[in-house]
Amino acid sequence: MHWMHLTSSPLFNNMERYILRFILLFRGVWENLGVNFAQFKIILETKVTLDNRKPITFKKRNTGKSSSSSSIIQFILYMIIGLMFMVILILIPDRYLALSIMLLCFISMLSITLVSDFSPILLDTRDQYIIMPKPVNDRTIALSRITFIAIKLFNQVIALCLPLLIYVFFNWDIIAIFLLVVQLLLSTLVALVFVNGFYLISIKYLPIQKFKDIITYLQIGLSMIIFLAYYLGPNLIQTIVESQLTIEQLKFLWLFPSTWIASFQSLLLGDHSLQITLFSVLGIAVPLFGIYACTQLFSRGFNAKIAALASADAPLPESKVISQNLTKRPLYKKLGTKLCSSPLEEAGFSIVWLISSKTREFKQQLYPSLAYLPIYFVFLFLRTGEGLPIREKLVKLGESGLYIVMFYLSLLTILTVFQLITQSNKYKAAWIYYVTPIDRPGQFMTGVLKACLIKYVLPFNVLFLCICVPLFGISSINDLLLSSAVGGIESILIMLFLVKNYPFSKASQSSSKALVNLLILGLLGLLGYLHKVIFQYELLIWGLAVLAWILFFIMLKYLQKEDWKSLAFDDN
Amino acid sequence: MEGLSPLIRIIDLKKSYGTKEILKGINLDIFPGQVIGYIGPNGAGKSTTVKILTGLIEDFTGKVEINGIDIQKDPLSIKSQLGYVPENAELYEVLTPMEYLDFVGKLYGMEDHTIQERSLKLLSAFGLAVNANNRMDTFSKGMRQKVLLISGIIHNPQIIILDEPLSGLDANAVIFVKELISLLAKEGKTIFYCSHMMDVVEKVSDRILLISQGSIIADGTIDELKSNPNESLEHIFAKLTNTDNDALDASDIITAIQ
Repeated sequence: MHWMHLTSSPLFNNMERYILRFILLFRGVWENLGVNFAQFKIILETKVTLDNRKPITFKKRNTGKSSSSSSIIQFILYMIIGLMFMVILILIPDRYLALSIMLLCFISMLSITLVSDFSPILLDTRDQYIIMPKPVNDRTIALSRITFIAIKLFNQVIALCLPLLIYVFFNWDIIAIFLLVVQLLLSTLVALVFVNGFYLISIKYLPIQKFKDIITYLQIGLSMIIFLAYYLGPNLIQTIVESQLTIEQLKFLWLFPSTWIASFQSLLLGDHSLQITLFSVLGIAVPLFGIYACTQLFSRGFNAKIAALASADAPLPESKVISQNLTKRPLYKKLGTKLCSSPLEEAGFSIVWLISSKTREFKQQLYPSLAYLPIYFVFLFLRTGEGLPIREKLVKLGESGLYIVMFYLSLLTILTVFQLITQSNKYKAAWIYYVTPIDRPGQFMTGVLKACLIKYVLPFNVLFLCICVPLFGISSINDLLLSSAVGGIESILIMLFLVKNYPFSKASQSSSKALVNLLILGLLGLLGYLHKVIFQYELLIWGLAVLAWILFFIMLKYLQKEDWKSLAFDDN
Repeated sequence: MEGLSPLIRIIDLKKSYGTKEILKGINLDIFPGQVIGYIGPNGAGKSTTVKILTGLIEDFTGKVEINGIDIQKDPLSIKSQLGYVPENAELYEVLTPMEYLDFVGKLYGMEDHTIQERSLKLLSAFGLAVNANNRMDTFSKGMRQKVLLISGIIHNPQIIILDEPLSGLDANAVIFVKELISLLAKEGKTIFYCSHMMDVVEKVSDRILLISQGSIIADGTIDELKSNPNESLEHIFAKLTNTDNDALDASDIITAIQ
């Protein structure tokens, strides 16, 4: 059966089926929650079957890899994250504090997974056509959605917990291990309640369009937090260990359910203080009340709102088009007219400007990767002249030319932007490129390049200018000019050699250009290093900056004339 | 149409995918101002013909000339004379109609003020003026279809290719589009209209082409195709494509659910 190779791993499929069977054993509980059990059962069985038969992407099919290997890789990745959680338990001597931080990371990790991977399940608008016209009540639909997500989440929970459980098995007593399992289950519940509750409350009280925006920003925010945690986490733990901090000194942790749940272990160890008892009660009561609230209080009207997400019946705000006069033009149009030499170039400029601003997937992938810049900047600042006062640190940064590193680091953004710019979930809309008379694709792509540079490179340069001139003096201007010209040249080279499609014209997929990326990163690093070596020769830097800008403009002219054979329509 | 030179000339057009022959030598002359109803069962070769005419498929044998220009030699010149409305309303839905039309207009090389002026007029005419600055991801299928229709005519093309243009439109919009097709034809536009909606094809087309299994099996006005005055295009279609047994299938279904 060839199709079987195109479905998920049998191991994981069977696991999901076993979990489902286990869940369905508690018929009485479900019915008490107001669920129609027969409908609940068939909805879940169908969703699990649909999920198992979900075809893998075209590219993966071409490479002949089944998604089973990707499921296993994902499982291993989560296990590695689980190992990091385990390290928290090993390193921090105070078990209560260690568990509080570990469970906080665990809940955050699950919440991010829920928001990014399971939003399509929670907000599945197909239910509108398939389930909602049938006589199924709101609670059955809401609980079947949450339960299905929980089933899907289970594999990840197992992978995250496995290293932890192995560690505690050899180091803790049996009751503590049992308690940890309960704590992990409650933490999973907290993540589920948090994300579900957030969605349910937002959708209940916000207009549809606002709700979509909020979800987008939540996803972006959470992705940035994980990025930040990845960089700052080890330092934070090091500080906690070195300073031998306890939870009493980190009072902000009291606000998190992870701390309440973690208090069970203290209770077990004999701490029956009012605070620990209160936290333990909260640790049990809050997740359970959360589930009750999600299913009983907020689920009403949820499905109708979900339906409105996909339908046009929701009233649209009326725009003031009639009063719009020809002179009032948005910023992107003004910039496009000023910077582009033809309507075709303007088309490339405007499509990239607009879609990159409005597409959630694009922003979700790009913004977290931009978060590294301020983080690196803080790192650079902290690591330069450790122990010195701020004023001397700044002098050292200026004298050593280390700030130039930031200029070149910001250029890495271009690589990410160009990798994302051709991809879209709405790639089918790209038919328009092939039925319109695009006689000079190079011009169109030059517009694309200009939009990317103005939107994603220029702001960094302006920011650097505002920071570096007051801090390091006027001599940093030529450095910035040189690095930005290098960025421009880099962009054109990436455009010419890596961008093979029109913007937003191919299905989103993970690209495997690791080698080329490494090469570009290496080249940028080398250029940055050379720049830093010669940065004190001001005249030389000015000369190089002028030369680099001339080269950039020559290359831009070349780009406009490029025929872009790779952009041709693929009939297959 | 004697004396007139054809606007679209298709000579022995063939297209195969592997060993499967999709178009088996089509010959056609289409004249200015004609409304061609292009019908046929699924898989007959309609979409392939449209893709060739719009320049999406360049690899075929035979010859396609529009205004005397060979489509394989100068596809861009042909594309600038064509307006195309595809069957599936695929567009960048995160944009507003104004933004999308601005983008399409510029791909046709139009000037800013012309695009804006025409967009506003067309959106008003299609009843979308109040939604001109709303994102299209909140639009119904019919509203998106209207935007697609506008994007197909905004550059005032000589030839308009409509692939199921009424898909998703409400009754009033269907009447409006039918009128629009007639008016465009009166303006001298040539319309190539692909559809499964036989009643509409019958009403708007002044020439009907029926394609089946890659060949044109009927070509004429509705009156020329009728063997008796009461016959509808639906019956002609069923008869010529051998699918006149629907009633039998339908009664089987009634029996099954009883």
